[in-house]
Amino acid sequence: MSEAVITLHDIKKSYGKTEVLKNVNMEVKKGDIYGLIGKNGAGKTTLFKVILGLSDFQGGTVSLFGAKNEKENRMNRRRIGFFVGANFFSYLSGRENLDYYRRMKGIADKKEVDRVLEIVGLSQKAAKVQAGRYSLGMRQRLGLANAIMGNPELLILDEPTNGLDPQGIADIRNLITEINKDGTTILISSHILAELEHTAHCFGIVNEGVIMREMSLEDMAQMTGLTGLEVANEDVEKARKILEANGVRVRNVKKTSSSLEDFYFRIIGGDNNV
Amino acid sequence: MFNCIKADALRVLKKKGFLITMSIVILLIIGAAILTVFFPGEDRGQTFADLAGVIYGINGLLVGIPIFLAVFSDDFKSKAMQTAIGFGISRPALIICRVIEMVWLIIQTGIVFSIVSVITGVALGASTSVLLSMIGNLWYESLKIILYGAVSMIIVYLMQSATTALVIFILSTVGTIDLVLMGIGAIPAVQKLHLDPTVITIESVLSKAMDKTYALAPLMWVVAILAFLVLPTIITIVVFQKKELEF
Repeated sequence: MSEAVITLHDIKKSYGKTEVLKNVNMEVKKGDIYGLIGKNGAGKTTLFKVILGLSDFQGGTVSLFGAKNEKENRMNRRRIGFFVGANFFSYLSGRENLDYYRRMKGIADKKEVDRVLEIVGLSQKAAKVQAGRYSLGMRQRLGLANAIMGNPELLILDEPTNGLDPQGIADIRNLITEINKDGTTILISSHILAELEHTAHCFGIVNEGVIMREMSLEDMAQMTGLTGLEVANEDVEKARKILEANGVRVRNVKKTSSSLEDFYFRIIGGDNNV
Repeated sequence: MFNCIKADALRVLKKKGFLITMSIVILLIIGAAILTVFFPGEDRGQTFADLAGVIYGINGLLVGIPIFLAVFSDDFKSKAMQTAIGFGISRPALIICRVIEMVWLIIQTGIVFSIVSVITGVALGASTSVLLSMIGNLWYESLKIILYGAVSMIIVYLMQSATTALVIFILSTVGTIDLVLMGIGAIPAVQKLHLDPTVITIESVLSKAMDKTYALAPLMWVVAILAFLVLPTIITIVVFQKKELEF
């Protein structure tokens, strides 16, 4: 069984009389991409703030990398990179902002800034522009560059594709998968289900401050009792006959066309492969 | 903590507003020198020292405001503080970093202004005693900026906004708060209680520290540092410890 990187036990949090987190229990295992799903205001960002020590909570425990107390949690937070909104010093360039955080994190290697800029696809020219002049997409990329600086063992990403164009969304999706391949655990939130379905290995569904269910992709298939096979063919009936002739029971045939995203990338020649 | 101070201090030095105001003060000192050349008075050195004293008097506004904004306001605007805490830097350490940074920036500007003032003063033939008095005046005003900044810092972290705190900082620097306290002290009911609210002001404690005839003068320096730098830092740490931080 793999080691837990984040363990939340019975977390309770309220603002006045309003309970925003109600006995939240959650576990993120090493190497996973954990997708936190929930509508706006469900408590996703509050959960992240609790994990990062930015919000006090009234009950329960947080353990990061097996820490036994808050002091150990604080030390272990140095192993985390996070993106919770792209906020920067507007008068500094993108590069200067990253350089600021590089110094703050105690990363001696100055080339680290170039490395992360290249990974997130921000050009050297763009990196010289003041962050205050960045588009939302560029700010998101800069925020991600900051998050991955220093190769953190755990990456926390709160709606990282918000405001991005389709190419940007596909790029970030690819980036997340690539980073995870190197062994980085990722906790990512979104209210766009399709986005997480493409990237996460396991999911937590949060609603009104409660984790309603935690499950892996396999669990999800078992729960519905069905697994599907998508066959793309112009002659659907022919495909059905072939499958039935080979003993495959076809329960549902649905005619679909390419997704808008597929069509978009076909037209512009981009890449949406994950 | 050292990384935090180093990163932030280098950031402030890249801020144009800070560099511009520093240049303005230097230009004002040079302007005072030029004025002295044309209107030297009886003692040219002393005339320059008097004019420089006026500039040091408004230093709190000229240099104090940009430093206050660069150290405290930018932290909230850029959410750099959230990043630092999320990275595992403790809240008390972060506040101590900001205090050290503010003190360091004020000392740094003080050194630059001292060098410019001394060179200009020597060129104008100011005597050693005049130069020492002029530099003493500069550092006295610099210390006041530090103490006013530290007291205003409580409001920054209490309200998580530098705007109100900046207003308090400006009012303190220009002496409005002292005037208000004097007004309170003048109320007959307060006078009957033999209370003088102005004794608790930075200005009052520092003037006692500067008073050579006052027996406890050396102790008043310690009182000033403890009451207006150390205590506000402790209060800030306490009020900020459990504050919710927004992204």
